[in-house]
Amino acid sequence: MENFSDPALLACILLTLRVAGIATLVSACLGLGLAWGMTRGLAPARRPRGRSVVDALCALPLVLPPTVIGYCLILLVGRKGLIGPLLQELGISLIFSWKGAVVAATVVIFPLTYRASRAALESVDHNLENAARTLGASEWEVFYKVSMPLAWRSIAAGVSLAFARGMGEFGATLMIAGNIPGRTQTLSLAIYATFQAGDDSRALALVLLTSVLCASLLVLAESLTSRRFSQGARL
Amino acid sequence: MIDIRFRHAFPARLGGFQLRVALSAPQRRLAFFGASGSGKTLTLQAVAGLFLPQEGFIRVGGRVLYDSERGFCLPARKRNLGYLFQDYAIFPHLTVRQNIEFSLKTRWQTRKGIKTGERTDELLRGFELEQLAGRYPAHISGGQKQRVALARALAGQPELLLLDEPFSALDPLLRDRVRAQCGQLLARFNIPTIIITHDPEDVLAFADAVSFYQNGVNSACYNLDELEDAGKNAGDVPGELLRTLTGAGENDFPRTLNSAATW
Repeated sequence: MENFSDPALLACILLTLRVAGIATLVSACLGLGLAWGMTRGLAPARRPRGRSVVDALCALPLVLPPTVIGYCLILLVGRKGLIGPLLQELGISLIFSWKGAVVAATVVIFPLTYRASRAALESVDHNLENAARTLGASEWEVFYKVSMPLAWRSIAAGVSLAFARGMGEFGATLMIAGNIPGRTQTLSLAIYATFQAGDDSRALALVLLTSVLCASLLVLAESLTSRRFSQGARL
Repeated sequence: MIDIRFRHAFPARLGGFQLRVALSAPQRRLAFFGASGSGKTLTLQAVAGLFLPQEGFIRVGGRVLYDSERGFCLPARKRNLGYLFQDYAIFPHLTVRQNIEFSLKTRWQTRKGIKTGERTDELLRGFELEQLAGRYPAHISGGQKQRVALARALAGQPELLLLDEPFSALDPLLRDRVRAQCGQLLARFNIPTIIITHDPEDVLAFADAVSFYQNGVNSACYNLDELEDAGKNAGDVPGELLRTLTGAGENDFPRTLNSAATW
């Protein structure tokens, strides 16, 4: 691939980081928000069945083939999709743009951030939160003065896992954003394109690069979970 | 001082426990006495606003905290009550000092205009915690934890202090000493208290009057000095408690609670 010069490689890496970064941020906020709502008696959480329905829906992107997610997203935000025309009115076009890749990655990694957040918030001792309430703390103060300081480590571990997964997103991204070098071609798409073009040595280089990036993220996530909230470490 | 009457029925899937509480007591120091699972803690949580009974009312010192008929419920943070949790529930991510000043820094409490620094220093001194101010809870003993929890609960100058089995988490060797210490501190603060316990010694040390719990129903409230008569007449009082309180012999009183309040 003669047009795959080094500036192009850098652009590809930056695009991958940008897409995964924004997607992680968005899905972390959504996941944490929903998780907080579910632990605080949001309407569906009050009934056991409502709760499992929400949980199942939130886990769906984990089990659906990426192509199915991509197709559903096109039905939703495509030019003739459900909310596509509305987005077009607002001047937002997701199809064949890097923003589409962000949407795809966000949906794919949402289950990871949601589940990590919920597990982390649920593991906070309920008595501590109640103690804060009797001491005059509002629900918001309980959240950021007690629940979050005790849960952030596990949440951060889940979020970094989500980031790593977002970097490697392929199927849904390909369907919604396409594979346009310099515009929507992320690392994993570039590997596929390079390999298809027969440039094996460059493909190998990209594979190594991606592996190193993802592996270091996993190590980071692991170190966050294994150190947990160790009371002994703080004197 | 306290006037409560409420009922709550848990759904069958959660065990179907029925709670019926009726209590009106002018005494400033009350005890709820009963076995675990008899509804004492739920009553305390209802007073604190951590548990909402389906129907009834809760009044403390003339203030309405909850009234299901009027659809009124004061949130826990505005009830101005201190709550000492059974396991102390000290925030593990905050130092002793930060734990104590927690309530002084919440938005609701800052309205009272208590000077945070001075008040915290005063409490650290009063509870002999000055040396530990910068330590995290993982590095202090059980008795010290209890003092921290007590100082924290009292920091915001609550109207009433709720003690949830405050000594059951301590080993027996420590218990008597901590109980005596806690009694002195509370006497100094001269604050109305409700203690829940299954230890007669706690009743003796912390209460002027006691109500008995069994299976989600509580008895009338007896002054400690009328207990003996009440025990003989109504059979309403656990013998074990009476023996401790009156120094009577093994066979003087019935062992269990056999009549319950009606409403």
